[in-house]
Amino acid sequence: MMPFLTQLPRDRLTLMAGPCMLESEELARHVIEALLPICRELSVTYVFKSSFDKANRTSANSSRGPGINHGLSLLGKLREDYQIPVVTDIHSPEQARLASQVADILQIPAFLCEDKALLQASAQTGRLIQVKKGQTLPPEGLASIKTFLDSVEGCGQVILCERGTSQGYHNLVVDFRNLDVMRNLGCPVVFDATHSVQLPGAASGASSGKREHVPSLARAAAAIGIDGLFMEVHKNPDQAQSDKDTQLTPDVAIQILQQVVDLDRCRRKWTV
Amino acid sequence: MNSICHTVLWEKRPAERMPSNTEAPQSFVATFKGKENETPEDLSHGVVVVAHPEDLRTPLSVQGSGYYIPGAFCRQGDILEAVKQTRKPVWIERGSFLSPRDMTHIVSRFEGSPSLTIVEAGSHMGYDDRVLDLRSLNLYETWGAKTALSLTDLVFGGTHKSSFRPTWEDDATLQESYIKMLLRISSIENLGLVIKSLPNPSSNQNDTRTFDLLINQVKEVCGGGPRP
Repeated sequence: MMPFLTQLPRDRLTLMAGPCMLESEELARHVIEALLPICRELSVTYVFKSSFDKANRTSANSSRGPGINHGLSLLGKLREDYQIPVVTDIHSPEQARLASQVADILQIPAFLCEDKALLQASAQTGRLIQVKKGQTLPPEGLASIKTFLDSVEGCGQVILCERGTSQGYHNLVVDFRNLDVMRNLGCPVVFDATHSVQLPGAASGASSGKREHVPSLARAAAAIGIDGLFMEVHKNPDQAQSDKDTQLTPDVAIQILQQVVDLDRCRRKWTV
Repeated sequence: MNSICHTVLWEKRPAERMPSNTEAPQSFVATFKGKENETPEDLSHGVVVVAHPEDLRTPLSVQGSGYYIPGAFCRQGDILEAVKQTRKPVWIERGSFLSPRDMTHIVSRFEGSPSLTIVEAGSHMGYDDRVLDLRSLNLYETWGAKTALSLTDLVFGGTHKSSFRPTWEDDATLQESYIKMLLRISSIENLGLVIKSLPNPSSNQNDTRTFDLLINQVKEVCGGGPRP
């Protein structure tokens, strides 16, 4: 596979967005066809995001998605049809090797961000690696992860993503200082605006969230400085099979993106 | 609740902040001679395997006499299922990001398992800091679950080597009295103990000090010493 991305652009914004779970081809196409035109209009790089396996559901009875074979096949098909890069999350070294055949960016989930075996296997694929900062990881822990990845021969560009820090049970807050820490490590910085408003495990066997805070957090991150915005987008969030309280409709996601692009253009002019 | 008071699960713990599952996935269980010479019925001594996603490619049943699931993996469905299928004793660490009550979803997955111990490694309270929420012990007891305390995580936060700010753990006197308090709690409540160490503790001065401090305190309070 020839990657569409070998580096995340630093001179313009990237949007990573799609349904939390790859529930169906129809849903994926709906989201892509809503977001891709506006990204082109705004000169934003669009990366389609979706998960083939939600491996860490709160409840054993929750749906996990299409699985690796069907899921990766579908991601590959969407990638080719729309000629857009794809990011998806992985949970084991074996998944890293398989997913690298269709994904331009491999995403390390926050819970697994210090899993050395997973990091190593991902780095060995040569793909871009997006590491989500663990919810309890102190910011200086990111430097160890970056150093480790860089030590693996053939490692692709490392992208760091902020998605909130645990503050008490069932609660996350965003420590915006982390965006500076990430940038100072020389990595492209992505802000995950929808997971940052999660209330983990707060819905009796599932995660809940405060979707209404997504726009303000996204704007704040853009003002501080990010290279990418990450949002989970669903045709009908209330019917989503995962993270239904935090996913956005395409219409809302587009409004937020437009505001973030405005702020991003201002921010790039600032010299201090 | 079965008594596992004097069992110390002695786990490999690589350096540089990386989790406890990155080398050959084996840990060692050392059983301390208890005050009454009791032998824990579920994990007498032997090898406990630290479950890791990479192991899922091979059957887990050929490995150790029990399994330890680190906190970072406590919600990974494939690991939980693979370990359950072995029908061997399981120690599962509560991730510091997870509320104690949410452990009920994990415990329910092990229904019918011969032995399940929840390892309490503390709740995240800001960067590089963990606290023992005593309510969690009460909660686990109402479920009938066995419980162990991870002294290493509770006392040293698991990440002490890279802490960027001074913490109370730097006060050695306070540290020792806190360890004693945790050991008293473990005795009163019949809790197991977990002490993590590097494969070769002498390779890291900081970890050697940490490990020796914990082991010596355990010997002093619980009596006895590790079996060879």
